[in-house]
Amino acid sequence: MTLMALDVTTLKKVKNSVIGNPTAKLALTQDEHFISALVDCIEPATAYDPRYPETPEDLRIEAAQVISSLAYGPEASLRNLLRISAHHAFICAISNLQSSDTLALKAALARGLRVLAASIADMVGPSLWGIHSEKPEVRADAVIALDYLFHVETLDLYIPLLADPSSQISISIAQLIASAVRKIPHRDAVMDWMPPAERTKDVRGKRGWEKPSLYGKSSGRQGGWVARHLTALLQSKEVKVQEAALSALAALTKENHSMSLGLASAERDAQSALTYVTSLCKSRSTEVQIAACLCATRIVRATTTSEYPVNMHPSVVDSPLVMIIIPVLNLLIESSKVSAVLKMKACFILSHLVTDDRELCQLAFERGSLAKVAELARQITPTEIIPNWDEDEPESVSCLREAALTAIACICLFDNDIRREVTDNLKLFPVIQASLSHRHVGVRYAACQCVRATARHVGALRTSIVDNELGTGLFRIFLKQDEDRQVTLAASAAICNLMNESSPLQKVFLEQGIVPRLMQLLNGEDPALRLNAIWAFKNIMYRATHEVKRNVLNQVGWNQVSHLLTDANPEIQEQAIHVLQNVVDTEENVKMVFDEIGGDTLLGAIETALSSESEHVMRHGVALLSNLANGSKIYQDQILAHQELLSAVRNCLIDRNIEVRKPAMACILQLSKSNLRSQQALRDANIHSALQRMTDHSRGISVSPGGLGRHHLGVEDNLDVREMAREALEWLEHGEEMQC
Amino acid sequence: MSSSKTEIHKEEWNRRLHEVQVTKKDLNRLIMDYLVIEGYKSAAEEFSQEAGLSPPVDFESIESRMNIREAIQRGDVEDAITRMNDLNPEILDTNPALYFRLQQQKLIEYIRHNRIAEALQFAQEELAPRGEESPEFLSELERTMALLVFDSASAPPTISELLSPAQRVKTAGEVNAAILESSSQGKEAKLVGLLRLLSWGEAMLSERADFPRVDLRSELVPEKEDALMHNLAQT
Repeated sequence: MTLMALDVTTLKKVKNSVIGNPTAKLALTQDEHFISALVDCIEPATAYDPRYPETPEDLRIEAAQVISSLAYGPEASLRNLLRISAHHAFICAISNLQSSDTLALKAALARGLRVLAASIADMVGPSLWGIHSEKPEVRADAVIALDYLFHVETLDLYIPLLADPSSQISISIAQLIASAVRKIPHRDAVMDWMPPAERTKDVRGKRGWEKPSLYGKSSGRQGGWVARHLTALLQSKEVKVQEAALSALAALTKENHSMSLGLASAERDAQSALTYVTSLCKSRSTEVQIAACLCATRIVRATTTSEYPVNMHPSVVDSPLVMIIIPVLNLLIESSKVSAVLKMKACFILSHLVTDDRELCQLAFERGSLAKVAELARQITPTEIIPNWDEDEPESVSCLREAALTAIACICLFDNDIRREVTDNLKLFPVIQASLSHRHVGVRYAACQCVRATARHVGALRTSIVDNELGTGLFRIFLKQDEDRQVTLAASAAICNLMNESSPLQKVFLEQGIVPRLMQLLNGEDPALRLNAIWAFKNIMYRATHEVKRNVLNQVGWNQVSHLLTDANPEIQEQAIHVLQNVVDTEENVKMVFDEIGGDTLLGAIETALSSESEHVMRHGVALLSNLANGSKIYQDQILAHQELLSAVRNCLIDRNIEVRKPAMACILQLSKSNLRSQQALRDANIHSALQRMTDHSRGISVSPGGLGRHHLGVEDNLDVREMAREALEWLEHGEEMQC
Repeated sequence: MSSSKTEIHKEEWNRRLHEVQVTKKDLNRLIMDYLVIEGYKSAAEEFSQEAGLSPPVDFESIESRMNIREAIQRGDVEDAITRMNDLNPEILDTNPALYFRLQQQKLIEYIRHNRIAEALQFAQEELAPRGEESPEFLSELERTMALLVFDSASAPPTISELLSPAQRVKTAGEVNAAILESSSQGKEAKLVGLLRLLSWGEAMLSERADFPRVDLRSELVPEKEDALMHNLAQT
C-alpha cells in the first residue's frame, strides 16, 4: 500500500476493510507513512500553530475509528502503533478539546484511548482472566506507555471525563480503568487522584500536627474522587453504564483495603457504593451480575486482611456479601442460557473468592459450587479422548475449562473430605487427565494445580492418581523442556506432593529420571523453580531408605550438595539444610554425609548457616547439627573439635528467638550426653558458662526476654529449654559418673 | 376422572384481574419497547408523540438497525457491514463469530449469483485467514465451500439450505441481536417475555384450577400465530 489520499471517503473504506479483520490490520500497520499520517490527523494541528489549516472534524473521527480498530488487532499491529506513540496523540487531542467540538469527536477520542490502553495493558500483563503464554520479555515501550497513562499529569487530562454528562464518554473512561489498571502503582494513582483545584486545597488544609489519616486519604469520603464518580454511575439505569462502573471499581478495589473500606461508607442519607454493588448482583442482566460479583468479591477479600488489626475484622466467611455472591455464581455456572465467556468469568470469580481461605472453601463446597463446576467441566470434555481432540476447540471453551479446573483446585486445596469428593465421587480424573495434554497453556496449568491439590490427600496418592495415569501425564509435562515456565512451576509444585514418602509414584519417578530434571531446574535462574526443585528433594529424603538417599545424592553430586548448603538465596539454603536434616536420621546416613562431603566442608557450611540473617536458616542449621550429633563418636569428636562452630552454636543458645534456642539446646544436650570429650570443648566455647547462666537465678543477669539486641541474656524463661540446659549441665559436670 | 381442582368462575376471575394495578404508562412503555426493538421506526415516532413518551433510544439508530437488516435480507452484505461500522464500530471488532457469519453470507451471495471466480478469490483472501485465526470456523467454512462442488439440484439439504432465504434471515437476526446487545437494550421485546411468563403461569395454574382463559389465537392473523407459537414454545 503506497501513499493514499487522506480524505473521509478513503478512510471510511479503510475502516470497513480492517474492522473485524486481523490480517488486514496487520497489513495496514506496516504502511508506516499511512499510519503516521493517520495519527497526525488525530491531534489538532491548530493547537500548535494557528497557521496550520484545521483538520476537518469528520476526518479526525474516521482516523480515530481506524486506529481504534487497529488497536484491537494482533500484537504485531499494536507494536507498530506504539512505535509512533498513538496513545500520546489521543491524550493530546483530548487535552485540546474545545466546548465547540462535537460529542461524536469526543466519543471517538475517548473510545480510541480506551482501546489503546486496554491493548497496551494486555501486552504488559498480567492477564485479567486466566493464564496466557508467557512472553520471553515484556516490551519496554509498552511498559513505558502504560506508566505514562497513569502519571498524574496524564490522569489530569482524561479522568475528568468520567464526570461527563454523556454516558458514551463516561463509559469509555470507566472501561479504560477496568481494563488497564492492573498494577498497584497505577491503581493507587487512580484511587488517589483528585482534581487539581482540590489538590491545592488539600495541601493548604493540613496543618503540621495533624495526624495522617489511618487509612490514607482515599478511604475517607467514600474512597476518593474517582470512586465517588463511579458510585454515581452505578446508579444509572443503563445496563452498560452499570457494567462499566462495576468493572472499574473491581479493578481499583483488588487487594485494596483502604478503598474497600471507603466504599462501604456513605455520606449522610446516601447509600454506600457497597449497597449498590450488592443489589446489582441480582440484576437481570447477566453481564451486570458478573461485574457486580467480581466487584463484591474484591471488596470482601480486601476488607479482611490481617494487616489492620485496629478494626475488628470478622473472618470473610461471615460477611453477608458472601451469601449473596455464591448463589449468583452457582446459577450462572449451571444455567444453560449463559455464554461460555460469562461462565468462565463466574468460575474465576469463584476462585478469587475462596482462594487460600479454608472456611470459604468449605462454604463453597457446602453450597454445591464444587459439584456444579465439576459438572460443567465434565460437560465440555469428551469422555473418549482421541489424539488431537482439542485441535479445533474454540478459545472460549478452552478458557472455560481452565476456569473450571482452577476453581476445583482452589476449593479442594485444604480439606481432605473435599479432596476425597473430587477424587472418588465427581469423576473428574478423566477431565484432568485429558487437560494435562491440552494445547492451551492455561488448561495445562489449571490441570497441574488440580493434581497438586488432590495429591495432598494420602489416599488419593495411593490409588486414583496412579490408576488414572495422572502421575504419568504430570511427569511428562514436568520433563518437557520447552514447556511454558508457568506450567512447569505448577507441575513442579504437584511433583513435590507426589514425592512424599507415601506416594507409590516416588519410586516410579526416580526410576524414570526425575533427578536430572530436578537438578536442571535447581541449577537454573528462576528462584521459584529452584525452590520447588529442592523442596522435592527434601520430600524424597524424608524417611527414605539409605539406598535411595545414596542413589539420589550421588546423582545430584556431593559437591553440589555442599554448594547448596551455602547458597546465596536464603530460601534455597534453608531447604538444602533441611534436605540434609532428612537425610541424616541414622548413624549410617550420618557416616555417609560426613564421608562424602568431608567433615570440614560440612561443618564449615553449618557454621556459615548459623550466622545467617535468616532465622529459618539458623534454625535448620542448628537442627541439622543436632541430627549429626547423633552419629557415632568419630563424628561427634569432629564437631567438638570445631571451635568456630561451637561458638556459633553458643550464639544460637542465647538468640532472642525461641525457635532458634530450642534446637540449639537440643544439640548441646546431645553432645553433652554422648561424649566424654564434650566437657572440655564446651567449656572452651563458653557454652558451659552460658548454660549456668540460663539455669541459675542467683548468677544470671535478669533482663527481660528479648534482651539486648539479638541476644537473650539472663535466665532462660522457656521451661523446656531450661530443663534441657539443666540436664546438659548434669551430664557435663557428672558425665563420667552417669555413664557407669 | 374427577379432579380436585378449584373452579374459578368468570366474575371472580375478572374481579381479581381488575384488582391488579397496571398503569397506562407501563402499558405504553411496553408497546414502545416492542416497536423499538422490532424496528418499527415511524410507528414508534408517532406513538411517542401521542403517548407523550420518549423512546429509550434515538430514532436514527432504530432506522439504521432496520436498514442493516434490510440490506442483509436483500443480499447486500457489503452495505450492511458499512452501516454497522457507522452505527457502532466496536461490534465486529469484538465479535469474530458475527464477522465470520457476515463474510460467509457474502460468499454465499457470490455463489448464488454464479460469480464463481470472485467467490474463490474472496474465499481465499478473506475467509481462509478467518479459518486460520479461529479453527472453530473451519467446519462452517467447509460447508459453504461445498456449495461450489454441487450444483443446486444435487446438493444435500445441509448444504443447500445455505442458499435459502432462511439463511439470510438467520444472519440478519444475529446481527440485530448483536446491535441490541451492544446498546443497553434487551435483545427481546419485553412483551414477548411477558407472553412467555403468561403461558407458564397459566400452565402452572391449570394443574390446580380451572379458570377462564383468553384464547389469543382467535385474534391473530395466521403468520402472527406461528410467531406466537414459536415464541411460546421457547418457554
